[in-house]
Amino acid sequence: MRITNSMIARNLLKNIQDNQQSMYSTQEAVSTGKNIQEPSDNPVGFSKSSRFRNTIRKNDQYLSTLQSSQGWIDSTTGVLDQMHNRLLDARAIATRASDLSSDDDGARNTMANQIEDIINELVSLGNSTHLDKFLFGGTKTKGEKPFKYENNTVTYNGNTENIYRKVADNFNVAINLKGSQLVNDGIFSALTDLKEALETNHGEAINESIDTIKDASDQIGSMNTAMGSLKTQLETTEHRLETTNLNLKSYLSDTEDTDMAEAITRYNAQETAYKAALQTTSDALNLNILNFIR
Amino acid sequence: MSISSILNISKQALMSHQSAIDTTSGNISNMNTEGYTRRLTNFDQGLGINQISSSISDDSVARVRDSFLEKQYMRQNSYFARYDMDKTISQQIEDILGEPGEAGLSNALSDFWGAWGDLANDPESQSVRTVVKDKSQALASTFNRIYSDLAQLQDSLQNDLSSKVSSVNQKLEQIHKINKQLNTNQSDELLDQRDRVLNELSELINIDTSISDNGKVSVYSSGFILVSENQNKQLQLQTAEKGDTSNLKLTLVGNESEVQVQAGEVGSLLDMHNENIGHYIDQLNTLATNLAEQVNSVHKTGYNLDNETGINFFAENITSAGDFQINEDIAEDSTLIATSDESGESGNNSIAQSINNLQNTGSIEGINPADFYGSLVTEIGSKVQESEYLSSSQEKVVQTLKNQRDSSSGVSLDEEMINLTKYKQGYQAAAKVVNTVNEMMVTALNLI
Repeated sequence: MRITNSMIARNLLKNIQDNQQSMYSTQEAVSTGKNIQEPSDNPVGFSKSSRFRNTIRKNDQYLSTLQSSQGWIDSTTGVLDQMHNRLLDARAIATRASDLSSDDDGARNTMANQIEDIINELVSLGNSTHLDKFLFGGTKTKGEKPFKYENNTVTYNGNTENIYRKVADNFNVAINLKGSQLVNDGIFSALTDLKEALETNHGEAINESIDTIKDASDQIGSMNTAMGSLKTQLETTEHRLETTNLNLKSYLSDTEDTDMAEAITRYNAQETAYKAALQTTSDALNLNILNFIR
Repeated sequence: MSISSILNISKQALMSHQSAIDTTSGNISNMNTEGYTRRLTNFDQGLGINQISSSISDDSVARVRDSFLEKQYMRQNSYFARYDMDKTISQQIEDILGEPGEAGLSNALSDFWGAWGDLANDPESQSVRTVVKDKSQALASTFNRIYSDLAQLQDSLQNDLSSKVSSVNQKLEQIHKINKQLNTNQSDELLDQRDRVLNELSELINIDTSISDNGKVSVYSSGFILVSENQNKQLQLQTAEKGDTSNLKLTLVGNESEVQVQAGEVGSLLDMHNENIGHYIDQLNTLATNLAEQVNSVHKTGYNLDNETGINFFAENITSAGDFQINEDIAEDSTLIATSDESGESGNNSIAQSINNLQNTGSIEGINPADFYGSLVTEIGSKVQESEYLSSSQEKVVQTLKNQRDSSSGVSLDEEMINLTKYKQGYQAAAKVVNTVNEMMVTALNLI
């Protein structure tokens, strides 16, 4: 083949540019730490990694929902514990009252006052809030308080709806304990009955209420157990999500991040090729018949 | 033979070597001129001199090979110009999307779902409502930006197209003029110029050529004759309504039928304008309108903390990603954002949760929104990758053809320098002959 000057210049320039191009892209991968700068760098890898990223973000959302749900459940169990203690106090009072003789109505009246205090305390516990939201009002978490104590009866103003939280794909969980359940399980009526019995000095009714209060405190205990197992369930879910995210992040890094050792080695090889191209260019351009004929 | 006839021969020898040096110097000074065909000096036996360019050498075998190479080059160069333009434009589109990145739609979408998730987790909160509003506005402005950037790009392609088409017309006219000039003047410069214009034309549209014996060229494209010895057609750009977007097509002036340009920059611009960008905008619109519709239909059934209901979250009647925006009332007052599906239940999050759940459902043509958009981004990414690959491999083909062409018709400095030396020596020798003849004359005169 007949070689002309324009061919030499064209090929040399192309080689230098090709070398520079490949050095530039390796340099970019090393300095940003990312193999995929743009979708076109690796369309398949890009679509994979954006799916990973979406799932990670969704799981992060679930995790934050899980944490706040656990906060709600912790508050609920705390309140239930206190209710349980108050009921034990009331039961002790009832036991003492049943031991008294029926003419000691002065002492029973004092006890009635103590029970009144306990009822007020239970009502205000029932009106407890977590982050300014009523724990026991169903989905009526704001506004009117769920429980009201008037004329020796406790009325419930909340509703009977569950508060749902989505804590994983296809896992919707009701995190609240409805106040209606407290009323239905006779937590308050056990005490209001006792108070009435004490005020009317009704020995038999006092005896009966020892058992109803025991039942009521057992109910609280089992509600607390249910809350506890719900919390365990949430903790398991949390653990699972955290593991999933950890795995996803490592897959993401595998697809997106630069393998530094490999990239730097490649860069060195490219640099050598580039230097060689520059050297041959300078030699070839200086190699000229003009240097030899006079 | 008389002595003076020797002088005549020497004079011719001097002149022909001078002329040969002139040709050589012309070759040297044009060694970097694109499209220049080197000239050869042929000394014939009568010491007359012919200057011919290698491409129109009388050797018919050489001409066939060269014109084949020339055609091949124009054809491949057309495709290279097309792929290179494809690459430039699709890279611009990729830049407009800005993925992966903070300003991209994927991020805005994800923030949008995240805000609804936060609201589902805390449906009583007004401040989270403000966040939902802000993220939704950010989503809207991202949609708007991408849409208007794509539409602007499409417009600028149309401007590019009309200027390229007028440059095609200019070149066609130029070729027609050269054809006419060839009637009277068959100079190498004119033939070089003809080939240069043809090469430039092949960068714009795909052409076929046929060259007659007298060097006149006929240019065809996609079955239409554009230029011949006595014809000079012009091309024009026309808009063809297609759906709600206007497509562009190329026709001959005075002829409605479409010239289907496949290659060259014009071919690329037409396809990018009509097919690619049009399709990308369609996809973006599908995403925007479906998203707004789905969110609205859920949100409308919900109640806010003040028990108001029937409110759209996004504006009603969104027709494209360009007018995608949130309901003006919500933009002013974020407390209108609904979370509950029942009146008077501040802790009920079912509406917020349902909207958050839309991200998982196949709500856009059976695909979830993130995947729908992801596949659009991947499609564009693949287009960029493909055009980068095609343009770089096509560049190699064109380079090879250029080299092959230069191999026969390019200037080699070494060769020219050797020729120069050779001709100089010839000239010196001829001068020496004149000198000798002169001495002979003196000797002869002294005889008397």
